[in-house]
Amino acid sequence: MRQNQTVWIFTVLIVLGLSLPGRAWSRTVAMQQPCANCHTMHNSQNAATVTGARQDALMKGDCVGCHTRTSGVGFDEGGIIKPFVWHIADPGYNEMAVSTQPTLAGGDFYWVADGTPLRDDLKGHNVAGIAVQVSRTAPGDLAVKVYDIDNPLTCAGVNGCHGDGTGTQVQQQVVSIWGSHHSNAPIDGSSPKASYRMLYGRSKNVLGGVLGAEDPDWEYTLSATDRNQYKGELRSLSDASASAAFISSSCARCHSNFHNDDDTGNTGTADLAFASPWIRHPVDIDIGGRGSEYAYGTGGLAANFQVQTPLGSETFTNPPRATLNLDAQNGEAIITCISCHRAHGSPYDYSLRWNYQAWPGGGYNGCGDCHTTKN
Amino acid sequence: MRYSDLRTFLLIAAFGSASFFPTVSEAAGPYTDSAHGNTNYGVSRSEIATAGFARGNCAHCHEQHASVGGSEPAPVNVAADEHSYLIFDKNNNDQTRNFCFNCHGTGTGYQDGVHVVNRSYSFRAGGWTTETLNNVKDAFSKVSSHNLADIVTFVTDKAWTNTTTNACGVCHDPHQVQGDPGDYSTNGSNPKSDLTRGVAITEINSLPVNLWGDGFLPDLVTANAIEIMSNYTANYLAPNRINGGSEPDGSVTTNGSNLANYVNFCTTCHDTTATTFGSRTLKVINWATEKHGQGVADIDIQMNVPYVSGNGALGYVLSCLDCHEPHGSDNVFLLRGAVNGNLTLPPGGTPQYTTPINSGVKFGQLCSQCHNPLPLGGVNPPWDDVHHSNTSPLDGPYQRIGSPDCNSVVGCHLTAAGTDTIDCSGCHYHGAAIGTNNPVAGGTILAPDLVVGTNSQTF
Repeated sequence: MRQNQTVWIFTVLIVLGLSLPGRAWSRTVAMQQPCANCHTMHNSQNAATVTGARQDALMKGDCVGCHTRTSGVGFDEGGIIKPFVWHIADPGYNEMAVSTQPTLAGGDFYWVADGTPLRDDLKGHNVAGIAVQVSRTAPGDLAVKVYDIDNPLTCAGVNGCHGDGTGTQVQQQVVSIWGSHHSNAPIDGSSPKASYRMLYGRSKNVLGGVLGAEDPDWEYTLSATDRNQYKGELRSLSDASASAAFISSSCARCHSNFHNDDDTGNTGTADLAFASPWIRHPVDIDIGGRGSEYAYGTGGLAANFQVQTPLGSETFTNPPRATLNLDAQNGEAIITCISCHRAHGSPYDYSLRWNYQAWPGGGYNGCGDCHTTKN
Repeated sequence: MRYSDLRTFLLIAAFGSASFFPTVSEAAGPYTDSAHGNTNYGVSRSEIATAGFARGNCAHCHEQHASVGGSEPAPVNVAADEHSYLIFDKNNNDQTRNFCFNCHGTGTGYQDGVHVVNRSYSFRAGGWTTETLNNVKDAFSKVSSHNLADIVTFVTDKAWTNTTTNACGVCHDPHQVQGDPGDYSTNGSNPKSDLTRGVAITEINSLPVNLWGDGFLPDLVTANAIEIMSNYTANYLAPNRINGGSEPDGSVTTNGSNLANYVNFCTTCHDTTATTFGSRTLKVINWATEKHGQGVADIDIQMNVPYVSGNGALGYVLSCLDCHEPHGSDNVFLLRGAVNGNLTLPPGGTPQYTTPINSGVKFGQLCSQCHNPLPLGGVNPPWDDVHHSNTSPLDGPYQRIGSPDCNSVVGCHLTAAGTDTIDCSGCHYHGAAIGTNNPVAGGTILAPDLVVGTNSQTF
């Protein structure tokens, strides 16, 4: 342990030495901020203990501790820039995803958190430190589980979506995202810090990171040309299981049976025919070139991107595509898990992006954004 | 144009500018206009409703992940590979197991815990309200019915654009089809027209899918895109409805303007060439020439009300559903149990026979609902006058042979016992033509002795 602390101290000193005066390297320029915002050198300040539990990497808190906002919305809390994923007070929710987003792209844990009025596990991921987990089974899981049922669901760590899966305790989550907050490495999936939103894990028994293009303000401001770009795959019969590079594969690590067309899920074994008629809704297929009901907004050569129902793509552009070419399956209009779901949470069951349950008669039919005659 | 299109047009016209619509909006569409998407009586599987889904929501039929939140709502004993199209039960199997029967059937009902009440066409259009059939599933187990497996085979072989693996969907696209169930609200069983009840069928072999019978045509340039019976022909005359009025709604409207054009609809499959339908043999149908279609009677016909007797080209054009049930019947050939205001099925009413038309004979029980078999008041046996008598105003085409012993060795009625008649279907059927199945007397095939009656035996 002493050796680890020594390594950490040297690491921090080197980082500080290479950074701007008083400001650390960071994932984006906008996130550059004083080291003390996140770290404590001696876990004490003004003769008081900074954190209750020891955190790795001299952190003042764990993931939840840093990414929680007590009041207000947005990513700037008094000059501290970071994506807030849990608001203690109801942040509100912009179902139609226009203009500014109080809950950012991943949604918010508010609705699933302990202490929230009408708290409901269906509203999001019940991550340790935010919500008590009554059961450690993931809906749609398989007999061959990727996650460790002896440990809780966490942001990072062995049962975390972020990071490389190392670290078996809540306090050790930072180990799995080692250095990622201080890196602006190109996103190539080679490590957590080089992965989209640090999403990294095993798919088809191969470790790898999710690819994508990150919106610098986490979709606080949102439009068709100001947004995240999610990596999707043009899957086919011969490639029924998506690789780790694709955003939906990150979900399939635990929700395997939701992802693929059969029960072999994400284990790397051969899948059954990946084709219609589906027995569950497919992901990582392109709705382009399918005609019939699949118009996605205006459809055709220039289908308007629907920010409330974001589709993934094989390649990314700067700025993001405002229109998608649906004349063929060319990788611009790929359905993913998060086309319908928020990763963290939402006010709606199953962490859906919209109040689908209330439709018709109320709510919003997100299905109709792709199945355009089913409205 | 669909209703939704019309509504959109009217909204735009009313507001004068599309700027009234929000940046992201969702207009009502064909699904929410459909019976299944209706917020009052649309789909509502009990367990899904308990989970908080609104009536009409897709999740009542489609489980996005072959489960809902990782759980399997009832019915649960369904094989994994039977969830095609994400639906909760096997799509199409046979006459008794079909996905649709989970709500439109018997036994355990998933629609609000019970079954949807659906009636026969004879009940709802014909006014036969004492009929006990109350679901679609049982209709397909009647004496005669459309064979669901054969339908799938048929449309698959045709490679039609809207090929489906569920036979029901061939005629009733589930995401568009309209029509309120028989048990909806207090007036669910009240007579309604094809429009006031909601359009119950969708165009076969059409992409995009199109309601058939709403009078709005997405394909105006298509010659057969005539969805209302009064547009198909000016010579439609609605049959009477039991307890008064005319079919299908008991109103005084008789020209078919309140009726879908079932002729073009049905003849999409039952066309002029189709002689096989899966495992079955079909009669070819050419409604452009057949006498019950756009062909005309060439000699005298004696009719019951509302039809008028007369000579020559009266020109009546019937709708298929004037005589046939769409799903099934206790009669053969899906013949209706109630036609033109009277029953063709016992008990009740005044059917000519005491048994259903169930053996290929006794068609007179059907035909006599419109055709008068005793125009001279019963002087001769039924149907004798119209075939043999030239007493004014009749012009019976056939001489009596062997009279008075018509069933003697020289008569025509050799195959019938006693004074029974030759069954109508022996000579009159879809696709019948002169020279086929003529009456036989003493081993000699007879031709009509009236020149004008050269094709009198055709249907």
